[in-house]
Amino acid sequence: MKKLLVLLGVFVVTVQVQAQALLGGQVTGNFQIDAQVSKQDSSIGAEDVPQKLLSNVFANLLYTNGGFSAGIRFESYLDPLLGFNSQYKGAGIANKFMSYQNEMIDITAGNFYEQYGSGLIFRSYEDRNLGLDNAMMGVNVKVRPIDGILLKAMVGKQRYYWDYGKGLVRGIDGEFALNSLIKGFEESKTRVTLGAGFVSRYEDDQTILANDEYKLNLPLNVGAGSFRMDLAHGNWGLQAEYAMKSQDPNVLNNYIYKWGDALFVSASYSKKGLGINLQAKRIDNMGFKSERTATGEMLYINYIPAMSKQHTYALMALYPAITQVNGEMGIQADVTYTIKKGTLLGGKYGTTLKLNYSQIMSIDKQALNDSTSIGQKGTDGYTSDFFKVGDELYYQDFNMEISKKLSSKSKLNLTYAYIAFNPVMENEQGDIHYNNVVVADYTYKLNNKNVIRGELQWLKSNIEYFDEDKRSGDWLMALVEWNFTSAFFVSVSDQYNYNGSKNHYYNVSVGYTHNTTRFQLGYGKQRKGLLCIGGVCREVPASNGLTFSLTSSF
Amino acid sequence: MKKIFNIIAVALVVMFVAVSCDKIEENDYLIYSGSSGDWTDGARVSNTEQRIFVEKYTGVRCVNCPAADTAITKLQQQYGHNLVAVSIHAGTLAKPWSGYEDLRTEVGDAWYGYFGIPSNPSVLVNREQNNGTWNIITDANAIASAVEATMGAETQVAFEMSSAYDDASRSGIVTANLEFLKDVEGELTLTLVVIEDGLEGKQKTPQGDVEDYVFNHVFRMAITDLWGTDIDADGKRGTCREGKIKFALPEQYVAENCHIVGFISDKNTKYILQAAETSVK
Repeated sequence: MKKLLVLLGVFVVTVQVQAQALLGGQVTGNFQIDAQVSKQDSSIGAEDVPQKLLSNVFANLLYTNGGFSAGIRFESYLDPLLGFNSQYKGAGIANKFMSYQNEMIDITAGNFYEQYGSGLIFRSYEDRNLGLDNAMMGVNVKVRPIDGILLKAMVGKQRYYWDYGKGLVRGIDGEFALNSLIKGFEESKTRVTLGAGFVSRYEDDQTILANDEYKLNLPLNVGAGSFRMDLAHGNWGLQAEYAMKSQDPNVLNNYIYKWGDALFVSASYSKKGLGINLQAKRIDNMGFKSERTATGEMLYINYIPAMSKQHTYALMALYPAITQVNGEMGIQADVTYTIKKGTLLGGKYGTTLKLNYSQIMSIDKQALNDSTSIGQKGTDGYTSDFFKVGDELYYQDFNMEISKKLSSKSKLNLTYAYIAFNPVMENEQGDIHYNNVVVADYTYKLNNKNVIRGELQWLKSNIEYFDEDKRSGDWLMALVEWNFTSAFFVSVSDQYNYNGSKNHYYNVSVGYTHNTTRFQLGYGKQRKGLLCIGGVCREVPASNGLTFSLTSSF
Repeated sequence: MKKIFNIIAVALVVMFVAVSCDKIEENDYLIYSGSSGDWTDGARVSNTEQRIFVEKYTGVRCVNCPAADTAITKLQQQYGHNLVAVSIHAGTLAKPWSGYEDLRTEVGDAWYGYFGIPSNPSVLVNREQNNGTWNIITDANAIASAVEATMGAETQVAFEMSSAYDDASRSGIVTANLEFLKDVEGELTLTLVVIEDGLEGKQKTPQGDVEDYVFNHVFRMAITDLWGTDIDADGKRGTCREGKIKFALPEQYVAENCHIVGFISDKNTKYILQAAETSVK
């Protein structure tokens, strides 16, 4: 262990270099090392790790010279951390690109990330925490022929761990800022941007049996198109996007031929001290991957925006909303209001109230006829009334947060959430979990260099503990964190499943930050669960052991 | 200039959108795929010989095709049952003569298109690839050396078949027995087809048109899907599986002249690992 720390120390020193000039350009980069040691712990379901040490490493190198840039990303998963797909196992250059841009055109050859609109038809992105990287390998072109018009076109294949998906993905997109394009509209308080995109996937034919004697007649080219608008007028804002997808029998929708569609609407109002955001979405058969037989988190061409609050407190995030690409209808309302300081409720420093409500339901699905079951393979699947809400509740979250600065040295956040979670969201059976969660988060500044923060969390569930689901039952959590000298921190926490498995999930971690380098070492237990970001989730298996991470940039 | 740019841009977008999604009519969602069979644990396979599969793409209007027939017939005499040959009539040179039977098939056309057969005759041995392209032999004189180079490889999967056929119903069951002699990675499929010998018809030859040319091992139909049915096995050495696959013979085929050819291939690469042949009756 000592040797390891020395080695890491040497590494920290060696990466403390500044951006370097090379051939008249600049070289920048960053590193990230995450490593894990875990031992068997049958009480929490942690399995033995025969390799003893697991690590994920990323290193980016970027060269820029005027409008030209080129970069590579080295990745190694030797072997992948627990919860990351074993197909990542290996090391090498996972991402490479070069691009040139000027005022009119932007061309990238190699790996690239791109998004059309809100992503309903196309979003290529990376989320390292989720083990997700659907980078494109191909060519991406953006053209600004005149002020107010942005045109995009791309072609490529998607990353699939250390390989590329079989499907060929092509896309075009146009965005038109009307205020720049229409004479006399330039100075208007109303700002309007319209957009439209189209993405197509080609994949070779293959044999997928519908029954013993018949196979599916598969569409080799699947298209998805969308229209969108972004409207702003003073304090008001409105964004909307509607997308459709052509016949795309795939493993996610059980190989049905129904067209898919999606609607996403977001309206907002904001002024000093008040922010209101209302959102609604309807998704029907919009799972769009570059391989029709692909499951898991990789090879998604599109992205369905989440419609619930992304909780950061551990027990509130215990039951996250998971996007249902085959069908869901959701609404969300989010209000932030700051009570002015100097008032009865605002006190000396003011008080911020946050209210958030979201509800996600199934969509209406009716059988095509008496002899065809809903979603039957090789059929149109079902019919659905666009405006009719389905009977099944997937997710409901009402939460409120009060943030109050109590004095010049102390601050208190109180949060309450009522979360209903249907296990069908993660393809499990069972009753809906109804949870009440309360969190108190108190921060006290001892002096300019010492800050102590404490959290107390309590979750009360209607579902009694059962072993297959290590998170069921009731929970308590406490955390104490001490930041000192602005560079070090120590954190101690415990999650206790007091009405359930009686397991303690304690964690101790220490961290150090110096300029752009951060090192963190932790020891403790990780409970089995889901890590979700924006409705996209990764299973995290139970573990018991050491974790350390190092990030640095230059 | 700007107008031309706009017109081109709009035309490209319309073209792209128009051609970039396929529409399948509701009545065409399902297509006949052939039998997939029932799989159970099987007995060990006594015959562990490695056989090779030679598929020849031919046509009645192809003047050089008889030379390929002769070459393959000689090789069959040399290698006996270790060479399994199928003759597929496909491509423009396979267009039938007026008054003669059309020997082309949908499956044959599909393979012809998939493998990018440039002309007739063309021969594939075990559907091998060379640097990512299909190793297509178009010279009849080169068939023997290609077969020789492939012959003698180590057997990975031992394979034998038998057929139980009922004359009255013109239907039967093929029993396919497999034994994995090595660990085999990848998904495997079993393709069963019917071939027929002794068909007479008109064939173009270097000496002129021959009215009573005898066509042998003519591909007639696929019993399974053209890319085969999934082999329900884990691919581990020692695994023995038995598949029972039903078939029915159309009226126009003479059962006594028909044979069933089976080949085991990698689902993704299409490479053929093993082949076998048995009489229908």
